[in-house]
Amino acid sequence: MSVRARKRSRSSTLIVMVPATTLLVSACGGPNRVEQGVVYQDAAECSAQNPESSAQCASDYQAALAAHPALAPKYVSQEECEADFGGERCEPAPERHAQGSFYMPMMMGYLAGQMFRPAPPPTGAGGIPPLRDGQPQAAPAAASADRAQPLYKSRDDQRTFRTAGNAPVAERSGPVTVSRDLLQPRAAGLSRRGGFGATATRLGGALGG
Amino acid sequence: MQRRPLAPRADWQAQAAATGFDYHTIDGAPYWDESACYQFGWRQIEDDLEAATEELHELALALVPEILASEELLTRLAVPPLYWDYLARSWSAHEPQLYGRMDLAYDGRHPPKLLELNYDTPTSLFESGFFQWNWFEQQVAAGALPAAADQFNSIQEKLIEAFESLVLPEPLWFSCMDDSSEDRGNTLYLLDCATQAGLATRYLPLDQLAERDGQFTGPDGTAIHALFKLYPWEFMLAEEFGPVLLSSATRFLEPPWKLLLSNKGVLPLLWERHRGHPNLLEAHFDAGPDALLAPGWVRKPVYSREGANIEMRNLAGQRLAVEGPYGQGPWVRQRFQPLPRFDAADGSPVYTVIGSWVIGDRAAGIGIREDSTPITRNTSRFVPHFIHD
Repeated sequence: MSVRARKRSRSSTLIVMVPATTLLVSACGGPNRVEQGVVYQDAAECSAQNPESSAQCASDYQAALAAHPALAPKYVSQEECEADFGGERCEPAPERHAQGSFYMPMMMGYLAGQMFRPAPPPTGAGGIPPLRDGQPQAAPAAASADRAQPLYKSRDDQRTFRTAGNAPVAERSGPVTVSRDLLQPRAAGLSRRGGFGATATRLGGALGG
Repeated sequence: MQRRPLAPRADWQAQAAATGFDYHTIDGAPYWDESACYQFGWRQIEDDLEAATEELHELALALVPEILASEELLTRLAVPPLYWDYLARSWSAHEPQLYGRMDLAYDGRHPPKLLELNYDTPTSLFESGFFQWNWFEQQVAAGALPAAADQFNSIQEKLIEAFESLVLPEPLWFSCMDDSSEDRGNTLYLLDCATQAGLATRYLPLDQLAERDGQFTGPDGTAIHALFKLYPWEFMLAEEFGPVLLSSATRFLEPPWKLLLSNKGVLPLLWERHRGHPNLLEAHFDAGPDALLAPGWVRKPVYSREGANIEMRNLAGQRLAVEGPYGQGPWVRQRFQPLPRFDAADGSPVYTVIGSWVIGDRAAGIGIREDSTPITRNTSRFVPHFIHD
């Protein structure tokens, strides 16, 4: 009697769907170049913890604040912005569109550190990978971002300071070790969302076949 | 091929609940139905279904470069000209596909006949690959099925192998319309398989997908370099973000060229090139619903899902139609093929369609759908199967 090849999977297990509520699986980043930095809500908090450096605190804070309008993600409406960052945590952005102002999240803190001064890390040492083949990476938005950059807090996670590119940086103020790769600031463009799904919403029901 | 009644497992609903399979009942009617099952012989599985699936898959793939090279064919399939180059680039770059399902009419005696290809957004994957597999293992363990029996179902194994071999940026994002539990269940099952294959994965409701500077991102600006979407390509091309595809570097699963094979226009194209093939039904492009449909033909829009907008006239001339929202674009007509009819326990007729899965270019298993009418729809019941001579 010949042995027949089995026609079914050898095993069948689930690791994400049990329990059904676990939707997000974290990725572990590879080894990154790391740097020391500091995270504070504002200059006053920095000065309170580092009285001898209050001038540096003020200048870092101002640098981040100056970079904030260019780096913050932009939304067409206040509602869309607040959906990501929470109620009363958005403000008008400098840019305007036909119906009014764009909105951006308020700056909730800043990151400063050695990697931002005296010069930014050379390109090629990491940084956000180019999004478009063959086109240069966006340059940092403003010279001030070289020394400090603004941080934000998302609506669903009010503890974590995040960069404008949503990289988590720290859960509390003070010294931090951060990856260079995540922190290269990048100018924000106009962000839109919800551009897919309209047909399904109009038709209703499941889409698979 | 026989339909057999079998006692359901006592705890199957609890097992369904534990894995998020909450669409086992749709609008109060059973969708997963294990009060019966189908038995196949080995020859039926290997010589008929498996062989026909792999052959039809090859014939379909061979159409892709021919369509892409022909403005006439792209026009007949109603592919928007703005995206012709986009589709062609995804094909010439060998962007990999993951999976597809073809629906076959098969009675166990005659060659399977291709009804249509679901090659872009096929569903019933979780119930085919996972829930049906567990049903089989447990029914064998309980002695309700013979120990020597098997099931045509290496779906999950082949999905994991396919994800292991895919060359895609990570993390791989998974997206669908989040308010459809069926679509979400299928999407999360694929996410689970990709995770088991060692990929970094993320889930994103489709309406959270954002665009910035011509690139797709998460709602917070995180770049999305690779995205599985359980959402039809023909919808995407027609919607607000369609033009973003042209500037975006995001790689998609299924890749853009799969749009061509989920189009029912491939049915007449296959017939024109392989007239008389034992697994094909005669098919032609059609003038649409204003034209008379002769007895013995079925008319379908080239773009439609879940049995919608299908009109059929059987050999006796009786007309059966399913209303639906997909009434635009070209139409095809296909020779009416009566679905095999079986008797339910209460004596009422059921009509059976076999969904045959292709994963990584190989036949991977089947799932069976039953309906009390001869048109298989979204609510048609899923009934498990086993193999035993």
